[in-house]
Amino acid sequence: MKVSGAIAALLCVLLALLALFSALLVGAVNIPLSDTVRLLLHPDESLHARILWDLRLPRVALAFLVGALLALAGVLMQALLQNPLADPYVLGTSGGAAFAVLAAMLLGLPLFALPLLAIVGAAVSTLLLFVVVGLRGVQAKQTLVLGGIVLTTAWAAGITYLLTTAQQSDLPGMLFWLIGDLSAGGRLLLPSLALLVLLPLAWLSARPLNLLLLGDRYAQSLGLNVARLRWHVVFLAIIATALAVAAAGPIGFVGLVAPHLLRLLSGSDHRWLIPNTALLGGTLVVGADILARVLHAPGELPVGIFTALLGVPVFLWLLRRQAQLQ
Amino acid sequence: MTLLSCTNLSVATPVGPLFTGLNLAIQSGQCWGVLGPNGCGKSSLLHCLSGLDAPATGDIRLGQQRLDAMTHRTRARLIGLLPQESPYSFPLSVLDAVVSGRFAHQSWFGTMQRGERDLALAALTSLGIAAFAKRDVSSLSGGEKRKVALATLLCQAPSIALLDEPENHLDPGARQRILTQFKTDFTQGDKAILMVMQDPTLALRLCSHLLIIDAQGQLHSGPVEHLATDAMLSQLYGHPLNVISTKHGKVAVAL
Repeated sequence: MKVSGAIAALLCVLLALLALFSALLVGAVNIPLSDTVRLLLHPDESLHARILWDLRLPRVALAFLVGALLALAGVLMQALLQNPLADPYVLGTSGGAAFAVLAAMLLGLPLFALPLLAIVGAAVSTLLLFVVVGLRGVQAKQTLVLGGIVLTTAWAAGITYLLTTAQQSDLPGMLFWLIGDLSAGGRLLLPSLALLVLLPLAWLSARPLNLLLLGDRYAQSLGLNVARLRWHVVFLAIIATALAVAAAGPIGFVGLVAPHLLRLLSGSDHRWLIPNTALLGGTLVVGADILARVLHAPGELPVGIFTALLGVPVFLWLLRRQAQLQ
Repeated sequence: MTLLSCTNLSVATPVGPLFTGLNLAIQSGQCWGVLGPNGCGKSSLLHCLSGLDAPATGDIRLGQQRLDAMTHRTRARLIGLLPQESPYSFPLSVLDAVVSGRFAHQSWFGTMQRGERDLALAALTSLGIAAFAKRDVSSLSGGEKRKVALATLLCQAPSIALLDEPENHLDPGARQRILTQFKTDFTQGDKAILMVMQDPTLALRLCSHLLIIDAQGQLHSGPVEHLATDAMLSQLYGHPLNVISTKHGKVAVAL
């Protein structure tokens, strides 16, 4: 039973608020609910206020932004390739960005260079996939997934090489980052700007993307400039992925799970799917981060473990369903 | 008035040319049928005429304007294509699928307007599938999907309709009703229709003009009564065919 896009949007907003608030409540230090609300509304100089405002809030905000960006990249790639298995993590886009960021860290490049290099890495990986496998290839489901796996493996090999050259003392931090590290709450500016710009730009393409569901050629005969739309959308997906990875490491499967759940719930109209996916993607990463902080308290786990726990079964299920459809 | 014309048009596959030197002028009010054996380039011709593919040589004009100089949107307001197959592999409501025919008429980010909805519903009604409006198009049968694609074309409301084997998947009754309706709709006012067909009887019944492409790439075009002869059709399909006059019009029978 499908619900309308507006109802799905309402659910997404409620879930997001719930997740954001819960995430502010949990942590190594126990801050009572009443204090949390009071300190959020009227911050003072207390330790609890500092923990809330300087540690938890930036972290939760970063989790949400990164999740929204990755989910946005996922829904765009799926629409573009007409393939529900497309996702920045599965296709190697995140891997390319991660390799570039890690290389930049090892070379000691300044912080502002990381997002730029992430974009280069993500672009190289994505274009390589499109050029080598070919457009018809990426639309064939198995070819796309195989191409993505090969690229992901290649980037993983590159990353392993980088790690072997790293200083022993840097290794734990790097390994943690590679599975998703949300502790860099200071770098909020770029992901927020990215979401503010990319989400409306993606949303403007909602109707053309709906048309693309009919197939490239049919859409073109109905008046859509498919080539132009393709570049526009690939560009948005690459930037969204790269900036998310630069901010928090390659967090997997968000771009796969969020759009898929929403398609099951309310269908494929991108005018609703795009904003709803961003909301749900943000919520998923915030939720995963709650688990990452609670299950190993007072320590924390990389957030990517939990997105993978959710994402891998969904991916396998999609793969199985496609095999059955053929 | 000449709506769609092409001069010295050649159509090729990656392997080689299918035919060369096609000159054609489609006037408003005409109904053209394209006949030819499998693989002679009928669909490729339609893809060129609708601007999906560039022809190997030659130029195509809509009125005075070159087709390749038009934007996708302008072109789609004037030319509509019914593809040979429309798989509808993604879940989408029938109404949304049909409204997509309005894309070229919408502003860049048009929301679904009441007028569009009504147009889509009218198109569905005229094809007898209004009851399906809310169903998922990917769950429909082949013939039902065909009607959805035909309704999309009605909704697109182009001046020139190019139909690639419109009879596919339709039962004999629907075939007659729907194609007669399309012929009527698209030969009124400044409009024209061109259909690729496998069945010469259907062409004899509906078309005013024929374009015949044989396996060697030889081209013949003209009024249907000049071209639809026993000799021409038998040679075209490499099998004896008789054109027989009945009280309901001519039929072509393969012997």
